[in-house]
Amino acid sequence: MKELLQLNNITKIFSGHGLLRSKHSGHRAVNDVSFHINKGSVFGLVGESGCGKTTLARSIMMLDPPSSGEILFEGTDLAGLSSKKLLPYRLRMQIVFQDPHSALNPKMSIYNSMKEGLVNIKYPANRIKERIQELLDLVGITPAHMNRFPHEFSGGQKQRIVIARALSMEPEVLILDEPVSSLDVSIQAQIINLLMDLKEKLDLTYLFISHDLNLVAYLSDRIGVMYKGRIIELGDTESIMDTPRHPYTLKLFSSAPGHMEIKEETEQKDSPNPPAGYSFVPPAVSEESDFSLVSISDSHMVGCYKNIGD
Amino acid sequence: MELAVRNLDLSFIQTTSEGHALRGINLTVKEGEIHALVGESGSGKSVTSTAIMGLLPSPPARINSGEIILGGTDILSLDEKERRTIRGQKIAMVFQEPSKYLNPTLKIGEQITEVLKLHLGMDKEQAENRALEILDMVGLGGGKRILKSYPHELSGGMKQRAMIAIAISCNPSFLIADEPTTALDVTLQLQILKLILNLREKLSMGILFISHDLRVVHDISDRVSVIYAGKIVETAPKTDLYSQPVHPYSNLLLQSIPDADKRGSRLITIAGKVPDAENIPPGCAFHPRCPYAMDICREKDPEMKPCGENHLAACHLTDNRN
Amino acid sequence: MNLLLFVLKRFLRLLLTILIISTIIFFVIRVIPGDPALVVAGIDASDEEIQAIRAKLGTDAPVTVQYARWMRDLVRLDLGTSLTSGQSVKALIRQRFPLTFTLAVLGIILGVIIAIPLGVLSAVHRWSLWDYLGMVYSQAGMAIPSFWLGIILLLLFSVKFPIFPLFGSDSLKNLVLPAIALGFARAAVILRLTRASMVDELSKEYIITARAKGLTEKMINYKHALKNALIPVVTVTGIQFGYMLGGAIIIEQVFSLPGLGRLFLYAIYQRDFPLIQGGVVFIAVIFSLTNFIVDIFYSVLNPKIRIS
Repeated sequence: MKELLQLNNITKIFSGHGLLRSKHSGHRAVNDVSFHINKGSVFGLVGESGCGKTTLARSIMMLDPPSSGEILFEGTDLAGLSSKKLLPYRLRMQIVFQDPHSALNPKMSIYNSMKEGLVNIKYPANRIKERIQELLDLVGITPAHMNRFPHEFSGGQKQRIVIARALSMEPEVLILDEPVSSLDVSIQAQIINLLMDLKEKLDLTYLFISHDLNLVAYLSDRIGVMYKGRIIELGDTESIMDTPRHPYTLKLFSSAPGHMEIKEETEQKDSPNPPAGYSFVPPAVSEESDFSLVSISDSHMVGCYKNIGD
Repeated sequence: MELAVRNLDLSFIQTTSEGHALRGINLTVKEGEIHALVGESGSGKSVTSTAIMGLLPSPPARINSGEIILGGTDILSLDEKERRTIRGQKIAMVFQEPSKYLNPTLKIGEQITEVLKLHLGMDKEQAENRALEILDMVGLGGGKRILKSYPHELSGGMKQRAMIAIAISCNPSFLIADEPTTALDVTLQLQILKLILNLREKLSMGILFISHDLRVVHDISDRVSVIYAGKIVETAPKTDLYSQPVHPYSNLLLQSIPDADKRGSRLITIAGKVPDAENIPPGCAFHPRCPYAMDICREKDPEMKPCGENHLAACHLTDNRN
Repeated sequence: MNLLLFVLKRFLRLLLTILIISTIIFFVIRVIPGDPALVVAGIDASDEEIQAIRAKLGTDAPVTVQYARWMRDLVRLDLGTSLTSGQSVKALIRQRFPLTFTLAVLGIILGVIIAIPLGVLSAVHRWSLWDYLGMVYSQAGMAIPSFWLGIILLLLFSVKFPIFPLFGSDSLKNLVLPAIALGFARAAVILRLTRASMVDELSKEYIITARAKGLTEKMINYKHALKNALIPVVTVTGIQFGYMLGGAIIIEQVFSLPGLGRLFLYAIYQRDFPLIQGGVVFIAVIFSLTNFIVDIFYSVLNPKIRIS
């Protein structure tokens, strides 16, 4: 499989506002993140709120360009491009957010909402209507309903429309940021199945972001676990699910609801050892550079700190 | 104290339409039991809890029939003043988003002590001492500092603990927890679930735990009732419901949960969506979405029938089994 | 962040605002076409006379020097000398300000006394008699111009039923009618906001919590909702007070009160540039000061604001 997207050392620092801000006082929302996504695969990014996963998504989309690092899309560094040259790449990646209600303009019919984007990319005017019908059909919305307004659709239907709109740009990569979290249980499964079907049909690549480890494990080929701005474990889904190595990944596992009776014992699970010469807790005197992802197998890496003196 | 909802039927009256929100709810929560009420949005689970609290504004809400019995008294027959003394004292409630459900400009201490002063007639000092005890009980050590804090000075998990502290301050015999962990991260969720289990032991409260998440419910409840379109369609001890669900809706809900074990296979889905309270389908309300629907399902609304020990379901399919 | 640090920060911001405003005023007055000295001296004046006036005004110096002088004088709280009266601008303002200030304070007190209780009652008892009364009042208050109300009040309560004096400014009794005329419209704005803000607070989730606690309606309305509802009201009331100080001009004219408004109106008629300049700076400073005080109040009411 070919790498479609390669992230190298992405860091995003939010500095405070006001006249007297200092470059060093900034908050590192994303800290030295590197991973790649193969064409046609699903990369699952899992982490709790505030871990930096949404910031990372916005950085990849160049909505909030990273403070440093490279975003290689088929080998071209997006972070180094002028906004004019960036545009075609931007269209090749689209993002779907959690809340479909705020993603659609309530005063615009679905047709007009979708037309806007197509006009922007200079889609032949005489074929726009046909194209919209085709897209709506693709996501399971009756094309005849295209003149309706967002409030006439349910949450699940709205999310389908948002997905259709993203697809109208003919992207190769879809970044899905908690796309089902705001939906009802019975609707979630419908949307997940739809996404998996679309991926096959249109040969898409997904970056799937979620706080739900079970969901990410269900649909991803590879998983990155994010914690406090860093990727702390990275690897094939099977490998991570079978032998999680980082204590935080383990904590996410044991906290995921539905698998066990809540008993105090679950916390006493033997904690895994870090790779030799490394430690999971930062040493007393640590430099940023002391942290790294260390391979523990061909397809599995865990983040830890190098022991001092080694 | 046991809480029993008997045949509660409730509508929302609008100028042009009438929404039949609850269609004869039956629910018993025993003392010390955690009874989960599971349903999707619009199923009537929050209306049920709000009706038990007596917090539904009327109009538009209208109770058509039914009883809510707490410790032998039908609280629906009480006047507003009597209901108020029950609220917060005998029945308390914890809500979904602590950051919205706490008053942003009142110190946590005041938000706890005002209940103690009002219901138990404590003076300021007594109330503050009791508040410190409660904060300790919900795992907010260093209570003195917390008492003086405003909600925004606490983290999400701490806020939910403070919310729980307010709820249990008067030692209620019954607690309603309305999606208390939905807004929290998984690691915090686990902590709060543990806290609720712990408090149930200590205070032997009956708890009605409202949730849309069957996985959370699995971890916390003793008994589960599944609600659909304003009606309970299945109720069973937890282990029975998860191992042998009877109603197709419960069954499909359980199967539609994504999980690592289901990798590579398509998820089971339920077609369509939950009906609006204004347009409940005739017969069994689930029949338009049910893959096993028969002719009788379109005409006759099935009644709850026993299908195991303490296990009831409302489905015509159970007739064929017997 | 503690309150003291917050106050200090806001105070620095106040100083910055005043600096910017006075700079803008300085340049705006110099951008206005025409040499003030020519206007003051009149058409028939000789070149020497004009030069003398320029020297007196200080407009003969380069702009940078003038600006430096202006700033230096400001720091010394020296606003220059009035061309027409020969008195210092500061002294003139000091003479006139107390009356205008008293008038505005009375106006705002009156406004608040009417608006806040009526707004709260309207929100708590929606669609009740209180609410209709509030609605009628706010419509009337917005529709009726204050000068017209002033004239009507004068005709009614000074001419027809001589309860209040027609002229004069020495007793509080003289200020009652102008304060009503001034406060009436302002109260309508505050009333509308109080009602809207209270309705908004009462629909928030924490009110459900308060109900679930079994609190009485009184506690819910006045302990929980009111404090939060008043937060935006305080800000707007402060701004309204600022408006009153500036907007008293017309009312002072109607009631023949020798306040700031009349002083500045006179200055404009007479093209008394130092007085106009000093007056605008003074009003701007008072406005900023009001905002500063409102900000402090706001942060006391709303602990959240102190973090950002």
